[in-house]
Amino acid sequence: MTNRNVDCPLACAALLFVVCAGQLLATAAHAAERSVDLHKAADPEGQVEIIDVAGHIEIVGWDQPEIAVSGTIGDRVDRVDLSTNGDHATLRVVLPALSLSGGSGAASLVVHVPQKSLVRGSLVSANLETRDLLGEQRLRTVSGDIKAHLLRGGSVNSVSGDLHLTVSGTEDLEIETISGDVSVDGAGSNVRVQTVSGELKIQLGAFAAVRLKTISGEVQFGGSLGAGGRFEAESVSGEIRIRFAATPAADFDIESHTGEIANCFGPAPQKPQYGPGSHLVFRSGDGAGRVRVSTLSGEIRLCDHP
Amino acid sequence: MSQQPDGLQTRLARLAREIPPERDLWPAIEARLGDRRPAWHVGLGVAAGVTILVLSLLVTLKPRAPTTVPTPSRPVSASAGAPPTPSNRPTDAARAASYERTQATLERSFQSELARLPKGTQTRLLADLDVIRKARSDIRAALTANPDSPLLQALLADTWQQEMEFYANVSSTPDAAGMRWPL
Repeated sequence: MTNRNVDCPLACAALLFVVCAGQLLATAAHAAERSVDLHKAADPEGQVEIIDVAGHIEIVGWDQPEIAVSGTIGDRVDRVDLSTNGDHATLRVVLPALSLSGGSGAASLVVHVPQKSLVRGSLVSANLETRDLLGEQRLRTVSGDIKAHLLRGGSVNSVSGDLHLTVSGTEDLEIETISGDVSVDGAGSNVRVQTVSGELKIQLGAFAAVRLKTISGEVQFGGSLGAGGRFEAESVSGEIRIRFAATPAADFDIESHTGEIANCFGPAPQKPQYGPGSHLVFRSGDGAGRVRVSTLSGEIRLCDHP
Repeated sequence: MSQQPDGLQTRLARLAREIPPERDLWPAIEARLGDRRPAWHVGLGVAAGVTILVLSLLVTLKPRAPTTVPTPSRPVSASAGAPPTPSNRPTDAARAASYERTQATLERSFQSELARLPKGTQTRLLADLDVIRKARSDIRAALTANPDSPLLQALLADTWQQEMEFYANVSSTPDAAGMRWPL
C-alpha cells in the first residue's frame, strides 16, 4: 500500500507529461502545416501532369496561360515542385525518402490550369476532383476517389477508389476500376466501363457504342441507343439492369446461362425444357443496331421505359 | 475400222459402275473424327490467345520492382493457374506448363507491386482476385456440363483476359515510393 501511494503520483505525473507532450507535438505539427502559392506560365493547349500521394487535389480549368497552385501541405511533405519543359508541365508533391517522425504527408491543393490542357493525374491515396476542363483527361488513383467532369473524353482508372463522373458529348471514354463503384451521368458517344466487383450506374443520353463488363458487380444502365449503335454488357454473376429510353431498332441477343431474363418489350425469353437459363433473340425495327447482353448466373432485366 | 471401237465401248459398258471397298472404312473415319472435339479446339485457341496476351504484357510492362522479387505471400495454385486446355497430350502439357510459369512470374510481380499499396487496398485487391478466380471456376464447372456453349467459352476467355488486365492494372498504379525524393 505504501508503495502504491508513492507510485501513483509518479505515474500520474508521467501520464500528464505524455499528454502534454502529445498536445505540444500536435500543435507543432499543425503549426508546421505550410501554405503553397505557386505560379508558372504554361502552354494554353499543353499537357499538365499532377502527381501526389495523399490528400486532396482539385484541378480547375481557366482561360489564362498559367498554372496556379494554392493550398496547404503537411509537415512531412518535402516540397511542391512545379516545372515546365516545352508544352509539358509537371506538378509533383514530393515526400522525403525516409521520415522517422509522424505528421502529415497530405497535400490539399487547388490547381488552376489552362482549360484546353491535356491533364494527367496520378494519385495514390489522394482524392481527385476536376472541373471546367475542355481538354482530354487521363486520371488514375489507387485508393482515392475521383470526381470529374469530362467534356472531351479520356480515361479514368482506379483500383479501389470510387468514380463519380459527369460527361458532356464525350467522344471516347474508358473507365476501369477493380473494386471501386462507378457512376456516370451525361451524354457520351463511345463509352467503355470495366470493373471486377464494383457497381456500375451509368445514365447516358443518346450514345453510339457502350460496352460494360463486370464479374460480380451489379450493372444499372439507362440511355438511348443511336441509329446503328451498339450496346454490350457482360457479367459473370452480377445482375444487369438496362432501361432504354425507347425501343431501339436493333438485333437483340440476350442470354443468361443459369439466371433469369425479364423484359418488358419483345417476345418472351426461351427457356430450356430442363434446367435453368434463358435466351432471348429478336429483332426490333430495322435491326440496324445491336444489343448483346450475356451473363453466367446473373439476372438480366431489360425495359424500354423508365 | 468401226468394229474395234464398238467392241471397246461394249466392254467398257460391261464394267461395273462402282467398286465396293474391300472393307468398311467408315468406323475408322468416324473414330478419327471423334477425336476432333470442337471444345478442345476452342479451349486450345483460348489458351494460345491468353498465352500471347501474357507474353505481350510481360514484354510491355516495365517492372518497377527491385531485382529481388519477394516470395508470394499466397502460393500459386496449380488449379487456379491451369489454363483452359482439357488435354493431356505432351505438346499441350508443355504449353500448359509454359503458361503456368508465365502466370506465376506475372503473379510474383503482382505480389511485389501489391506490397507497395495501402493495406486496405491490398485486402480489397486480394478479395477481387478471389472473385475473378471463383468466377472462372464457376464457368469451368458449367463448361463441364456444356462444353460447346459459345457463351461459356466467351466468358471463360474474358475472365482470363480480365485477370491479366487486373495484374497489369495493379502493376501500373502510381507508386508512392517512386514519388519520394531521395535524401
